[in-house]
Amino acid sequence: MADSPRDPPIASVHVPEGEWVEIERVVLRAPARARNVPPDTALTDFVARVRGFLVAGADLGSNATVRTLLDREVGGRLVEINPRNPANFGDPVPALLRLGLEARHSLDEGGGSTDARRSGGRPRR
Amino acid sequence: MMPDESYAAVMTRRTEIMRRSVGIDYERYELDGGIAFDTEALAESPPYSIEDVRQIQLRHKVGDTPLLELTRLTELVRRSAPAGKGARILVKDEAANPSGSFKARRASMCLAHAADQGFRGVIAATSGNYGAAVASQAAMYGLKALILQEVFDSAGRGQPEVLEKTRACEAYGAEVWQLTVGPELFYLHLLLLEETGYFNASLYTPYAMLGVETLGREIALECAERFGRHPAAIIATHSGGGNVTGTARGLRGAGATDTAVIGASVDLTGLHMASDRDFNRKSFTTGHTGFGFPFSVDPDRVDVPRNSARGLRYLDRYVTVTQGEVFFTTQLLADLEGMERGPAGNTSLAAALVVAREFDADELVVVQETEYTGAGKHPTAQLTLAREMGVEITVGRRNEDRPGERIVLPETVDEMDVTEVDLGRLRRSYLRRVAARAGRRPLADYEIEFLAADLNTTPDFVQVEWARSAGARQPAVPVSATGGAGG
Repeated sequence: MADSPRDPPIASVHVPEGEWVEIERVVLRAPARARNVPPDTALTDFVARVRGFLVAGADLGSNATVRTLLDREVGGRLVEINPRNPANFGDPVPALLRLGLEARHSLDEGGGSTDARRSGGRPRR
Repeated sequence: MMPDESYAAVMTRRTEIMRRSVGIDYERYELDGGIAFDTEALAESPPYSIEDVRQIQLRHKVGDTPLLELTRLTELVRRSAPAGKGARILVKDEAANPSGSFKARRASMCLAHAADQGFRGVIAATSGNYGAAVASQAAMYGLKALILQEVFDSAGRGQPEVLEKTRACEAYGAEVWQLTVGPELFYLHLLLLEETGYFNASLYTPYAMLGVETLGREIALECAERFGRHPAAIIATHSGGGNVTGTARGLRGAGATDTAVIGASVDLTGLHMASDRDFNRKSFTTGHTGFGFPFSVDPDRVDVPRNSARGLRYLDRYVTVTQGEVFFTTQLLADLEGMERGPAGNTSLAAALVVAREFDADELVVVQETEYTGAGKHPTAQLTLAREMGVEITVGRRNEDRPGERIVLPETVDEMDVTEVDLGRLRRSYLRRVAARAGRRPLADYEIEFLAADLNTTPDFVQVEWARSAGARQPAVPVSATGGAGG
C-alpha cells in the first residue's frame, strides 16, 4: 500500500476495545480497478476508510474490526484513534475582504455611475 | 457460498441488485427499442399527490422555506444595468431545511418510500448535501443510513467540503465510507446494497424528483400571491439534473408555465472528474460542469436503470460562471445582505447578478436555493486548499480564469458575466450517444417524440441530427421511408 500521511508510527501502540477509531481497507488494488479510470488514478489503489468502535483491542497498523454507528462490523487496518474532523475555514483571503468592502462603499457612499465608482479606490491586488 | 465480489462480477449483477434495492419495476416503463421510456408514467408512479408530499415534508421539518428579496444586491446590479432594467432578485432560503439544503426535499420522499416498503435502512452514494439530507431524514424515520463519499486523493488529502459532509452524516448517526477518487464508488455501492439489503436512496428516482417539486411549487404560489406575477426566470444550480427537473415540474404544476428555467454551473472544463491529480484542484464539489455536462448528454448513466432527473428536458437556457465569481458573490451576499451561505446556491446567485440586468426592473428573478455554510464549505477553506495545490488566485478578468490553474476574482459586480452553454451542442451529443448504443437504424415516431421532449426541441431537429449522428452523409431521410437498420 502507498505511504499515506496518516500512516501509523513505527512503535506499536495498543488500542483498547471500545475506542472510536478509523480503519482503512483497500477495496480494489490498482490492477483490479475499472478500465475506464484515467491513467493517474489507475496507478492508485481504491481505498475506503470507515469509523467505528473497536471490537477487540488491537495494535495501531494491524488488522481490526469496528462496530459502526449502524451496529455493523467492518474490518480493515487500524489507522487512527479518535479521528479528528479536519475541515476548517482555512486562511483569510484579504482580496475577498477588500472586494466586499469596495462593493459596500460603492453602494452606500458612491451612489453614482459606474465610471465614478471605478475612478476611486479599486482594491489592490 | 459467498457471491463473487470482483469488480466484473458485481457489475454484471447490477440490474438485479438495483431492482431489489429500489422497489421500482423500471421494465414496466420501457418502450420497445431501448431508446424511449414513458417518462410521465414513471414520474407519476409514486402513490403520493403533491399535497401528500407537502404534508409528509412538513411532518419531517422540510419545506415552506422563506423567499427572501435581496434588495441591496438588486440595487448594486441596477447601478450598472441599462435604464429600467435590473429585475428584483429573490432567493429561496433552502438552508432553513433541517440538514441545511434543498436536498432534504429530495431525501424526504425516498425515506417515506423506503419506510413504506419496510426497508430497515438506506444507502446513498453522494459526496454532497444529499448524504446529510438522507442521514437526517433517516434519523427522523428511525432508519439506518449508510453513505458513500468520494473524499480523498491518493495522498490522503481530503476535499474540505466533503470532509465536512462526513462529519455531518456521522452527526446524524450514519455509517460513512470515505473513499479515494474513482467511479468504483458505484461498485462498492452495489456491493453494500447486496450485503445489507438496504434501500437504494438514489438521487435519481421519481421519489427524489417528486420531493423537489414542492420547491418550484412554493416559489410559483408565493410569487403569485406576494407580487401578483410569476418569476420571469428561475435560476437553478445545475449538476445531475434533479434540481432543475423537480423545480421545473413544480413550477409547471402550479401554473408558472411562463417562467424561464435557467441552469447555472461552475465552469470546471478541462479538469477530469475521475482524476486523482485533478481531484483537489477543483474548488467545487457539485453544481459544476463536470457533472452538468455529462449528466445532460447521458442522463441514464446513474445508479438506477432510468434517471428521473433529465436536465435538457426542462432547461430553457444554461449558463456557466467561474469559481472566482461564485466566491465573490458569496462575499457580496455576506457584505450586502448579511447572509453567509454555501457554494451551491451562490452559483446560481452569481448567474442571477448578471441575468437580472436583462429583465425589466419590475420583473422577478428567483434563485431557487441556498445551502448552509460552515467549516470546509467556505471560500476561505477552498481558496486555502487551492493555494496549497498550486492554483494561483488573482483579481482580474474572467477570461483569465483557468480551472485548476488560476482562480480569478472579479473586481466589481459589473465585471461578472455568464457564458452561454450551447444547448444545441449538448442535444447533438446526447443523440450521438443514443445512436451509438441503439445502432444506426430508423426511429419510430414514438421515439422521435420521446427524444424531442427529452431534449426540449422539435421532432425536425431530432430527425436531422439523428441522420447526421448515425454517420449518414446523405441528407436526412424521413424515418418512415427508410428500410432496416444500417451498420
